[in-house]
Amino acid sequence: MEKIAYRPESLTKTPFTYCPGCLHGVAHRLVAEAIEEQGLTNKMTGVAPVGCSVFAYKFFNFDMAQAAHGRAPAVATGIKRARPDMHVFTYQGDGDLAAIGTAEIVHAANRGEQMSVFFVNNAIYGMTGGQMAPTTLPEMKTTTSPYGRKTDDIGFPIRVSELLATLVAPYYIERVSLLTPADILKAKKAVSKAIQYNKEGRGFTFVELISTCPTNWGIDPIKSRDWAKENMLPFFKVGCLRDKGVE
Amino acid sequence: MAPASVQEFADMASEAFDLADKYRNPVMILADGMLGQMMEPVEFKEPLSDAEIEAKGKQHDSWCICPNEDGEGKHHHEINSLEIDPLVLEKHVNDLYKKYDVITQNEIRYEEFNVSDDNEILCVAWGTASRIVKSAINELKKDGKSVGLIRPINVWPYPYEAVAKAIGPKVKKVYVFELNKGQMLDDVKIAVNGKVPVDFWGKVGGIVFTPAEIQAKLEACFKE
Ligand SMILES: Cc1ncc(C[n+]2csc(CCOP(=O)(O)OP(=O)(O)O)c2C)c(N)n1
Ligand code: SF4
Ligand SMILES: [Mg+2]
Repeated sequence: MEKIAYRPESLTKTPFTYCPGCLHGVAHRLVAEAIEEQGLTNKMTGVAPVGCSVFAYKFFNFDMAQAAHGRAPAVATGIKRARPDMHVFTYQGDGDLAAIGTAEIVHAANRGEQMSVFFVNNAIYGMTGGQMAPTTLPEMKTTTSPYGRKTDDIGFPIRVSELLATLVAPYYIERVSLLTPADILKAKKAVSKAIQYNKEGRGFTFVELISTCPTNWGIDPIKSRDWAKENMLPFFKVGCLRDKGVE
Repeated sequence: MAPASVQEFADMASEAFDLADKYRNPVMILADGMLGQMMEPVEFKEPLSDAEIEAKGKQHDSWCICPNEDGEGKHHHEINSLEIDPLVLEKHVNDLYKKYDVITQNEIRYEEFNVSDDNEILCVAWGTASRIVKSAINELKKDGKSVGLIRPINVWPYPYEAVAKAIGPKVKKVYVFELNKGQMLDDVKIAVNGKVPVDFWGKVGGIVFTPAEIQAKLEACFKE
């Protein structure tokens, strides 16, 4: 019998701890499938962030590290330099990567570190109860912006992919969405490309995945996706910002 | 680790890495402003060969991040300090404290300078301050005044016993000199445990005391 759906071997059997309808699970699966397809399961290691995906270190079926908040790119730098025979990725939320970890991601990208970064942007601090992130949209209500994010006070959201695309070193930067099945298939292509470039030692690769947080947005999972399509995608436009492999 | 010369500073830099590797524990070098800006000749130790470094790295294969294999040898190492289950966290914290005990047993380091039963004052000083205190002690010796010095080389684990033991029969005061407001003073007081009075003099802002100033402070104690 042909197997058409299965759990990738690069995921452990530990059940995910995400809320129903959360897209972190989808993002994990894409990363795991890509690693397996590239035959890297035994040579891969990942760095988990602080955030809802902190337990990513339990979910990927190879050696994993968990970094202090925002420091995953620094830890990944150390691992790759100490173990050049291995491949490394980080998996980070927007609170982790775009707030407390801004310095680490900018400098790792600028040094062109040999790593893949999977940046799951749901415009909010999910784990801690829905506080405003640097990626929170203008007028978006969160527990720390109960009247909506006021850009006069707080500024506009940071577009991290575009920011990193101003740097010379990064090899590949793309923003994708996880909001529809078709988007997920496209996202898979980008994730696979990042892992393939990683395997080939091409340099720093970065995929931003537009995601949701039904729990803290207070919107049910299906409507959350519609909300994100209407509100996030116009500001965080999907598309490839850098691909030195085809340039 | 608290170096008192640039040579010691350089030696400690490599020792610190070895200790961190041995105990899987952060190691800090507590230099002072003077040492940080000072130039002295240093000799570097022979670096390890690539093979030696490789062998050292291999000792950690049972837990560290390393390539995987299929089947029997498959592993899932987690480098992580987050424990959500209170019972697991309790065990983890207790294990860490057992490690701190081992470090305390193995890694106390200090230097004794002119410590003897004739001492009337015992000084405790680390880093640059200890060098100035030594000069003052040598000057006082010429006048037949006996002062000893304990210089902690590692400030953690702290040489409490060494300080306590160095308080000879004639010692009437322990004097702490530091280039700060007394970061080590409480440790000395714990070690002395009320046996004799403890005095302190510190200078801050990058101002360094002269040997003559220390000598004057100590001479005043002889007159007390
Ligand atoms: C140094 C530090 N500061 C703050 C926190 C609290 N904290 C935990 S998760 C988090 C934000 C997570 O948000 P994000 O990275 O967007 O991940 P999400 O949960 O949304 O996937 C914060 C601020 C912490 N754990 N450590
Ligand atoms: S809080 Fe939000 S991001 Fe976190 S698991 Fe739940 S839905 Fe997902
Ligand atoms: Mg988030």
